[in-house]
Amino acid sequence: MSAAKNFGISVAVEGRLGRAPISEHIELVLYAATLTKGQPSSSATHDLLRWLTMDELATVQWLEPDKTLLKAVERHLSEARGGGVDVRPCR
Amino acid sequence: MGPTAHRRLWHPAGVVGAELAGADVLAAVLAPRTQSGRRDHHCFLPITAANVIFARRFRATADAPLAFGTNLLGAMLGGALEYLSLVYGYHALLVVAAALYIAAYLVMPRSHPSRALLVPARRASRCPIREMPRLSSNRHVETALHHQNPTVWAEASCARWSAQRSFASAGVLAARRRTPADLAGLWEFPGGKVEPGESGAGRGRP
Repeated sequence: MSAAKNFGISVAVEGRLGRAPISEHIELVLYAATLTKGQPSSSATHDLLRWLTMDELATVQWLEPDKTLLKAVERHLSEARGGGVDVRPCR
Repeated sequence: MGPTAHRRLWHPAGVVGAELAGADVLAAVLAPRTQSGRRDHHCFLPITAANVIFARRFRATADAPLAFGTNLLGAMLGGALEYLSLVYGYHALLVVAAALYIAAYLVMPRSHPSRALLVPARRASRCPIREMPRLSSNRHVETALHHQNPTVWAEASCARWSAQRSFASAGVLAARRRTPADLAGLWEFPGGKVEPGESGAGRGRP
């Protein structure tokens, strides 16, 4: 996956969160994923990487296409937060 | 901001700034004079040490402008302490410098908790075995295991799912663009363009 390729990490893709047009020919498709290996530390096209909590989502100035997907991200995060971390055996 | 901003006032880089200025003073005070009145070169070792510490701490910081800003404040504080030593004497300054080093060591953050890109949206109580990616890259091994003992297979899958869940915490990775000029400074979800031959979501998903 591209994120893994560009950041030198491995991720497990969980599902698609949404899509938004960037231009006539490019579309942004946002997936939820968890890190399975490595930590993203640097990027050729970015000067800063930050982990944001749900409350911090609105504190940075997003690119327009990404901004349209914030609602979906928020919904996703609140669902995950509500679920909490579950390590019960599941059967 | 609130508590976060408060915590950042005590940014390690800022403390190290004070440390730098303190080390400057320390070097000047400790430098033994030779017969000709010149000071030995090795007496500047504390400054070198402070610079190494600063470089290491700065590399670990997430927000460079903020770190530089607080570092500047720290340097000003150090400078003020240096001038104040004209009042309270050089020996007291040694104590102040030592205290700054100890304080910097104490407030230094020691661990960076790992966080997930985005947490899974699945319901907490249910293990989505059917939706799990393949346990083994060897299809034959996995199929055999599944047929021989479905429960073992299911539990192994669940264990992996639980491990992923417990690894996850509610966080989203955001990246600030460096280029092009009209997008620089704006934030986006990190990723990349899907090249020909790549699937959109990586292996195991349509």
